[in-house]
Amino acid sequence: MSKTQSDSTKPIVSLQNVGLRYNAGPEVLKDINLELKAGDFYFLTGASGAGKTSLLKLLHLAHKPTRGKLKIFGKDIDFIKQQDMAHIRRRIGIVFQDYHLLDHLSVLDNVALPLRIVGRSERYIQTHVPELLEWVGLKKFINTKPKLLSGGQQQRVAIARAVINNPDILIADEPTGNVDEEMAKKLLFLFLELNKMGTTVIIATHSTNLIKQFHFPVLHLQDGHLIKE
Amino acid sequence: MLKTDIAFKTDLNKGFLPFITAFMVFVASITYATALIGNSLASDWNRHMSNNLTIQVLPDMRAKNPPKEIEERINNIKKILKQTPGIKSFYAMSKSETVDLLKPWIGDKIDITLPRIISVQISDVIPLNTKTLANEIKNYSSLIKLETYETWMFEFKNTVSAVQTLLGLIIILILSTTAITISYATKSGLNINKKVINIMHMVGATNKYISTQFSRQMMILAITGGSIGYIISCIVILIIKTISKDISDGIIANFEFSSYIYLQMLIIPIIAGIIAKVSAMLTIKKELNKMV
Ligand SMILES: Nc1ncnc2c1ncn2[C@@H]1O[C@H](COP(=O)(O)OP(=O)(O)O)[C@@H](O)[C@H]1O
Ligand SMILES: [Mg+2]
Repeated sequence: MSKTQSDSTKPIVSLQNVGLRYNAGPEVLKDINLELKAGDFYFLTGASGAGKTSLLKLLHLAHKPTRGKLKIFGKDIDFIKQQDMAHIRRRIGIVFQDYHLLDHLSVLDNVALPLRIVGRSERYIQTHVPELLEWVGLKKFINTKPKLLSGGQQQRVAIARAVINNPDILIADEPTGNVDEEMAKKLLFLFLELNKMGTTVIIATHSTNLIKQFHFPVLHLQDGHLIKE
Repeated sequence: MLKTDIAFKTDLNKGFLPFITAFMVFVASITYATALIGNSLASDWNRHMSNNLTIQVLPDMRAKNPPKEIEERINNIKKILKQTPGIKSFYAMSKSETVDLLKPWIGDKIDITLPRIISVQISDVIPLNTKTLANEIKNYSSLIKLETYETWMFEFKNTVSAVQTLLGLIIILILSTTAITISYATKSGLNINKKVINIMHMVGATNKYISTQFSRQMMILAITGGSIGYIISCIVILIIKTISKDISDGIIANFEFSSYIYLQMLIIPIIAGIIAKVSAMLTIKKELNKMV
């Protein structure tokens, strides 16, 4: 649970002239320059298809940039091994737009996944996971399979999984898209809570409401370019 | 050890893999048991046979008085046998016993001098040098034949070891097939679990962790099947043992094998489990490297 808060001026993520294209397609991200520091909180906006998901996936090492330099936790991702990649990902919580839950596992087992892979004890898991699930209002569904939950409930399972291991970076791709305004606010407070403890948060969203309410800086994607607002 | 942190989807392998390993282990265990039984049978026979030898004394028709001459030679052989270390006891069939024995075939009014048999029991403790004895007897008279079972046993042993080599090869073949089957089952299992593995990667699982977990799951399936195969083969052996006891009474002296065999057979499912783990591990490593 130790957080590398030592040097808050040093970026934990840096992108220099990063470009991304899928296969032989057009470049969907162009000349992205971005630095994220410990404790930053950003909203990421842009029209549908602007490249929000693509950018977040870059930060999570799901894709490699086709050009430019990407460094995470000081490591150049052009030169890392699978094992290092795994260790970087453990420090990043991600909420995918389409949740990416495992249908054959219960809600508890889904959320416990990041804890199991780092070798947390079953006792730790059985106390911390239900606690968090209670917080996101899913206590009742602990043993339910995700398929039986509504979209909004699945989204909260995905959020719980992303934050369970107290990540250094939290990436969320439209995490409030499927929940009502009240739940959206509650989830934002959860992210805020983490942010106060030093987690860097970056949230892709369409909700102008949330952006207005929470006053965090906005990164805007347009035609593949990133504009700081 | 026999539990995974993360349950992979097992729709296909759940039934298939235990079934196939049960079958493989069954065949391999039975084959192995056959080899073991053959081995103990052969050594039983060997012990039994090598404890006896026969000396055949042929009459010398050119002697003046063949009946008297043969008695003389028999007495001399007895002297030699008495002085030879490694002989427990011997018994020379008397003339009347020999006649009695052959009566049904040649009647009791016999003029010719019959060959005579001395049967010799070899000591269990003191080794007997059959070669020296054979030479001694041959030097003494060319009309005396020493029949040991050694020549015969040699061929018998050769046959037994050839059969055992064959059985060994069959076991190796079966176990290799098991390895290949498990490798394929692992591949298909990985395909079913592509999404699971992808998500595990996403939350920071190393390839090492995934392959350990996954191969453990494959090993659990294989051990389940292996245990079933082992139990069935034990039952089959028990049945064979019971039946053969009745049949073989009087035919084969010692057709009995100890219950130790069930313990020895246990090596097969254990090897199968290890093979499952290793071949799954290797397959996963290869496949995961393709995925990332
Ligand atoms: N896996 C992919 N293969 C090919 N093209 C893709 C892929 N993912 C996204 N794209 C394309 O990249 C562009 C940006 O998509 P995306 O990052 O999902 O935007 P957003 O999340 O802002 O809606 C779109 O034109 C989309 O069609
Ligand atoms: Mg998107």
